Amino acid sequence: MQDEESLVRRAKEHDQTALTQIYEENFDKIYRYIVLKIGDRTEAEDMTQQVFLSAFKAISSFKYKKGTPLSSWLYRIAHNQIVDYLRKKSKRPTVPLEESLASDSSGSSDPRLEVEQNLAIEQLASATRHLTKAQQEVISLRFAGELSVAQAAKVMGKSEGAVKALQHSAIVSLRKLLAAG
Amino acid sequence: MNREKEFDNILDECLERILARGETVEQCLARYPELAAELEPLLQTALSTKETLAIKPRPEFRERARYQLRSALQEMEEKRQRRFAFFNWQPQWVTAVAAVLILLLASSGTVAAAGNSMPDGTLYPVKLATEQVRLVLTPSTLGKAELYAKLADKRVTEIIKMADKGKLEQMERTTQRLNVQLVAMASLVGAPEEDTAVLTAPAPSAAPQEAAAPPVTEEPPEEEKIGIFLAPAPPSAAKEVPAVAEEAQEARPGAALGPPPHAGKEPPKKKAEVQLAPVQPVPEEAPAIPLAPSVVPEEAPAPQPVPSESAEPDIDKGKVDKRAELMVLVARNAVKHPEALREVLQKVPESARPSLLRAIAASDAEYEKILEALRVRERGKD
Repeated sequence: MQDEESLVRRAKEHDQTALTQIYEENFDKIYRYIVLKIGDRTEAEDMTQQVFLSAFKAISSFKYKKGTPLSSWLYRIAHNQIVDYLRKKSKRPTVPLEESLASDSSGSSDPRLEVEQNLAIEQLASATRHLTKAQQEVISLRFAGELSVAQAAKVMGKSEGAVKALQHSAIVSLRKLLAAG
Repeated sequence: MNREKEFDNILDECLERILARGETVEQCLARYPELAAELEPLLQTALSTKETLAIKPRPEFRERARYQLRSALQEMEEKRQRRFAFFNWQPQWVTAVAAVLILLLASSGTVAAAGNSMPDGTLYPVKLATEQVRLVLTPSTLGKAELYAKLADKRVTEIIKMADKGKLEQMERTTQRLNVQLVAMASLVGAPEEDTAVLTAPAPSAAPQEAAAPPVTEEPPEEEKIGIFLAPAPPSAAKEVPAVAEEAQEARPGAALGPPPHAGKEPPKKKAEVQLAPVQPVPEEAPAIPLAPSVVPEEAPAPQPVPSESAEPDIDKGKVDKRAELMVLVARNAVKHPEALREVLQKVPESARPSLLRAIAASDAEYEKILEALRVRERGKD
């Protein structure tokens, strides 16, 4: 934790190495977190980028607390952007799923695999949206963000016990939803 | 209730083993055979969720994203610099309000107490506001310039104190204030403006960036100005870009002590000279120079002799004396400040060095310009 405190201090001083480290260590996790919440890989890329832009713009105002990882702050920024995105999206006309998937090229060398992958993500994202907000957050933080229960608890402001219980109920519900198709 | 909690714990333990340590579902079930029927479907769901989410952004997007981020950070840094510069050009009413407040506060002795406060002190903003008011209330250009020279001296003392205390954030802010005040002083005494780019003294640039770097000009390349850490610009997907972490390693702030790598190109000469300029060989006793132009050490930029009393009317004599005093003060600062800042440089961690290097470069360059401008004025007078 001492290391992270030092990392944050250096990042606040606009230290290049520190900012690079934060970017590299968290980019993929934040990306997966967003993908799971919105189900659109291309859109998630742009949003992930925006999360880091916002974070670095505001890094001077970030206050490090012992035991709370910096990533929890990044997830909060990501969460706010997702809420904003979904609110705006609800006002826009929707694109049919097939069309969305066809245009959602992730640059894979195997187009069929890519479509299958995108369908699986869309299915998972769609099922996740039927969970409660807290369950969604646990699944996103644990499986996309790869946070431990303790870290997820910090991000969510809940006890570890509560997060474990939410994790259990979320997986049970997710299983049912995925089975129902 | 307890049973549920226990199951939650066991489920979490199995998830940790499977997701983080790479155990199989079967291995985990073997640990809890009595719960296997209940655990197995949940673990399978979790595993399949994890597998579905084993995705990464497209490599070409990562490359583009790094480039965009670098540009955005560069813009932010420039804005930050401008904000500090803006401090000197704030609207008149801000100064007027500050003046009233300071007059009110003065009666309670706050201003006096603030005079010695440091950047980490609660009264420091009062000290800064007091300085602004003093500047506004000083009518003559030479008087203002002299005040700036004294303020610069205070800033350097504050930088040293903050570095000693390990308060690097405050130290960095103070270096920026110092830079702004030096530029303001230089423009007051009529120094040419075109060289103020030195304020954004080069930070280290990553070696791989150089291949794609624009031609070297007097103005430091954008990458060098703030030392942005990310991969070079080429948005082409085909181009192989080294890992950012590696670049960043090469771009560590400490590298700023040596000439920046320019991939076969000459580094911008002006910058290198400014940044690496040795302290002028002025004797130790420089700080003790009496305020008389005739005894300024030769090594320091020496003011011209003051014309004799009989040759000048009183009013001109006053100006000449003032200018001579200013030259001595500036000459002393020109020696003292870069040297003191270089000493601080040895004490601070690498992360704090770029801002100090910028301050050293600024004091080297700006004092030289100020002295030159004063000499030109002096010659004009002659």
